[in-house]
Amino acid sequence: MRIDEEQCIACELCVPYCPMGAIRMDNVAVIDQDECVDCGVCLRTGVCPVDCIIFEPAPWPRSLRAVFSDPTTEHKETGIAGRGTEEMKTNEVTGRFKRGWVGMGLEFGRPGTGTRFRDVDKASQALAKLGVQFEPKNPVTFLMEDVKTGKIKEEVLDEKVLSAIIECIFPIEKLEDILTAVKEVSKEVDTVFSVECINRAEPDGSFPLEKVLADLGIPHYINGKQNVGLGRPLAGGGN
Amino acid sequence: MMKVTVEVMSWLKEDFNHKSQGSLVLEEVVTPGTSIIDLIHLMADKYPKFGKKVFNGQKQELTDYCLVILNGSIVSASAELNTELKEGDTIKFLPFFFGG
Amino acid sequence: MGAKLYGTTGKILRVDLSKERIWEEALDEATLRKYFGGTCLGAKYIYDEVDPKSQWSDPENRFFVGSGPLGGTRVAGSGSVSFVTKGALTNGFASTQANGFFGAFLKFSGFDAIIFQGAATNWKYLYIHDGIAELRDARHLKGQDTWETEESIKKELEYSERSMSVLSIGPAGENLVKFACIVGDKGHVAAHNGIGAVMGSKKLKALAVARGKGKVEVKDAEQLAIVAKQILESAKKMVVFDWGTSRVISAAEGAGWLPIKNYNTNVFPEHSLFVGDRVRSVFEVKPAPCWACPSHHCHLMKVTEGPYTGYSGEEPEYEQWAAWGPQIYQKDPGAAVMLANEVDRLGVDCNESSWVVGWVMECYEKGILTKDDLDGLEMTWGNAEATLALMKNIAFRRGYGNILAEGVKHAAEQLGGEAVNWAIYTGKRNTPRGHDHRGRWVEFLDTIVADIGTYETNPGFIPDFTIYGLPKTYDIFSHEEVSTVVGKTKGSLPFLDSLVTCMFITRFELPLLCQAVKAATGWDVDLQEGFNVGRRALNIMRVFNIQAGLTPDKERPSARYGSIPVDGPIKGKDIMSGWENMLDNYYKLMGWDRKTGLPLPETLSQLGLEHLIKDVDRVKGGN
Repeated sequence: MRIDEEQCIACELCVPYCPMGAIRMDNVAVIDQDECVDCGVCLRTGVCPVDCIIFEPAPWPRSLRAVFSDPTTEHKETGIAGRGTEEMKTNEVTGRFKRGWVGMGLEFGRPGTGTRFRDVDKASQALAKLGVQFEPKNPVTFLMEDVKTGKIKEEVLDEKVLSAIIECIFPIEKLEDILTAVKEVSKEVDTVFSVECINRAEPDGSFPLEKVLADLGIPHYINGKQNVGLGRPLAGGGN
Repeated sequence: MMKVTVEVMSWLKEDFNHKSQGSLVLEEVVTPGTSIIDLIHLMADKYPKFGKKVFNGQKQELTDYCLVILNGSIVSASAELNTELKEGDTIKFLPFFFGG
Repeated sequence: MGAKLYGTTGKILRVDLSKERIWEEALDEATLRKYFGGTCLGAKYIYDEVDPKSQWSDPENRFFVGSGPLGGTRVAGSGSVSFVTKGALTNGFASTQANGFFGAFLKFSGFDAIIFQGAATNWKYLYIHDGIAELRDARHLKGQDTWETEESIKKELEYSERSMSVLSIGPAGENLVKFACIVGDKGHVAAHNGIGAVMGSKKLKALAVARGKGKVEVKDAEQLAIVAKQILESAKKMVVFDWGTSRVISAAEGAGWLPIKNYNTNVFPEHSLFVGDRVRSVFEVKPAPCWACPSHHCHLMKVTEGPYTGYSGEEPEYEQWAAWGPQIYQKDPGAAVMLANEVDRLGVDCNESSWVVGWVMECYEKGILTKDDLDGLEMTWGNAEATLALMKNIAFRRGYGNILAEGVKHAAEQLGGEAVNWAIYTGKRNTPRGHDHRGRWVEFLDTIVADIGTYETNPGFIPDFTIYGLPKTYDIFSHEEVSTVVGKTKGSLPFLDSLVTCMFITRFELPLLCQAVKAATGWDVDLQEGFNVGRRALNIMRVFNIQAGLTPDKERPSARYGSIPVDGPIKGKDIMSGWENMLDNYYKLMGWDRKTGLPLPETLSQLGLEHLIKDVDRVKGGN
């Protein structure tokens, strides 16, 4: 995002809206291009009295910033807006999360911090070492050179986005090692991330995931989604 | 004991934690012999936000934060603040402000 | 040449409208440090170049439009501009400011000020862009109102809304209405003492300055940014920062300084309909900040209730709510929005207008002026439509409007009889601002002794009196204490008006403002130096005005202005009982001779105005 410095009247109304705090006052308001993630919030608020906030579509790799950060844009590859696939949160359509498997999402950059892909790369490589399967339709997966190593393409490592999510799936036996590795990665990154674990319930309603987390002493919050069941699941019953 | 009415007006109401439009009317019960300045002290104790602005630090000197009106007349001289209140008196607090 | 200048540019643009000649004049640092800019610098030029005994409409009158050392910097509200000239109403000095962008853009173009002289043969407007100035044909703009003029010029020169600042006169200025004003940047007004008429007398329709690519070069940008922030913090404590001036209407009514029904009463329960927190929640508002200003003062407003639903314009200031609401006993805030904007468009000062209209309404009520006298208008109290029609008659000098265009003092004296006792005006011919001064003695005194056609000090905006050597509080109805406050705070407002910055942001902690000047210019300015610049301006104006005939005998209010209120919170307060004592005290504090009204030689010497002593002696000697 850019501020037209010949139009800006230095009224400072836009400054508090930037989620990255990237607008500072010089003679007039100036957006720090490196910290800006092209989310477009400053423009969308309509708060500028002289309409001098501009979005200029940038070439690759900067174009990545808007795609990840601006919820009104779509990823070309997946046709999905935003940071992750939706099916991760429900299981009816794809039946990805079978019993005995855990789905994991690592959501980088929220709240209010943003993330560089350099940090995402540390986590994706650590996870790949432990043999996870990355979600094919996830935008971050598309940025990997090789899903077997989890290494993210060199040219995007410096790009900053509002947030990005790594999605993967693995057998529940690997959960303890993976959580340990994730904890180690958290010490090496310059941002925050949240960890989401998805598990299919047993027929008696229990979650195997819970026992592992309790044994490891990891506090967790259970979020559920009520599915109304209006569609016909692609996945069959049972597993 | 005697009853007096205290009316708080305009943006002064925010110091009394009152948000809606229209003035804030309080019925206060005070001992006979209470003067205007005594009443201001009472309100300052009851409503600390007001107290911090109407009195000045440790000296307990009155600032010019608010204008006082007794029974419809402005109390402008500091000597008048010692006037003793009577049953049924109305005291209005207004922000002391001369706008342009 | 001289040392490099920071803050100020050291360049004055001079325009001779008779000869259509434009040239630049350089100012040295010593002069700039002595007069700063804006009001004080303007005072110097008017004094040096204008004959005090001349008429305001004489082509030789100078019209000074100036910014100052802080113009166009990071200080909030540094887009303001100061106009100084010989005014049309009093025929003495006029000094009045408009906020917005003009002062900032003028500085970007490299000029501290513009001085006009002469008069054009045909209507012209001045266009400045990136340091280049030209006079352009304005005949096609004649008759357009002030907002239309602004839009037309931006359109024909192809500038977007905020990449150009335009200040113009409307029909009132064109027709030399004595209280015509200058309006620009969609609703900012330089109002007092008929400066619009002065522009009109020079056939100068508008001033347009492009923002361009320039910047103001300051001595210490980092320090200035820090001080600018501190100034903002001091402003945030005041209610105007969040609410502008319209929130004070209820406080005004409660304290007895809301002007109601031409001073006939001090009771107006409808204040609660006009007060800022109500109108801003009921009407649609959109922020319209000035240069570098993050306050929530200026807005555009759209009426959403009553017969004027849908009317769009600028949010009225307190002065306009007071003028078009309680003063004319009109109870619909939507109608007040309409009148405020229509009158701005016509280019007439709202204060003077409301005293004219209020007086007319009283005369109509009492049968002294009839519908026929008023060209078919039924001027009943609160009649907004009739008021609008009357204001148009004044702006175009039609019918009785031609007499009213001379100001309420002239109209009342012309009508004669009892009606003279109902009009509100000062002996110098101007009227007060939008307040009932019988409840605001500091401004009562200030308005009448002032030399600029409006008040000069405005102590109501001062949070800390101790920096003036005054106690923290004072009895607002004590003759002695009030006149002392006025005398001792004099100089503080013209100081701001010489920088030129917006009072609503920079009035509150003057020591910070001095630090801002230092950071901008490198001059080690302290509070005393700042006050001196202000008092310098006022003393120059005083010496000039005495020569112009504005002598101490004129320092009296009209009968109604000085009357005793009959009801409300200020009932019985009698300022006139101690009037002479107030003047005595004031003159003593100003260092002026009570009989002649002239500054004493030592006062002039203290302010570096020794060169005026010979003029003072000449006047005293009977010349």
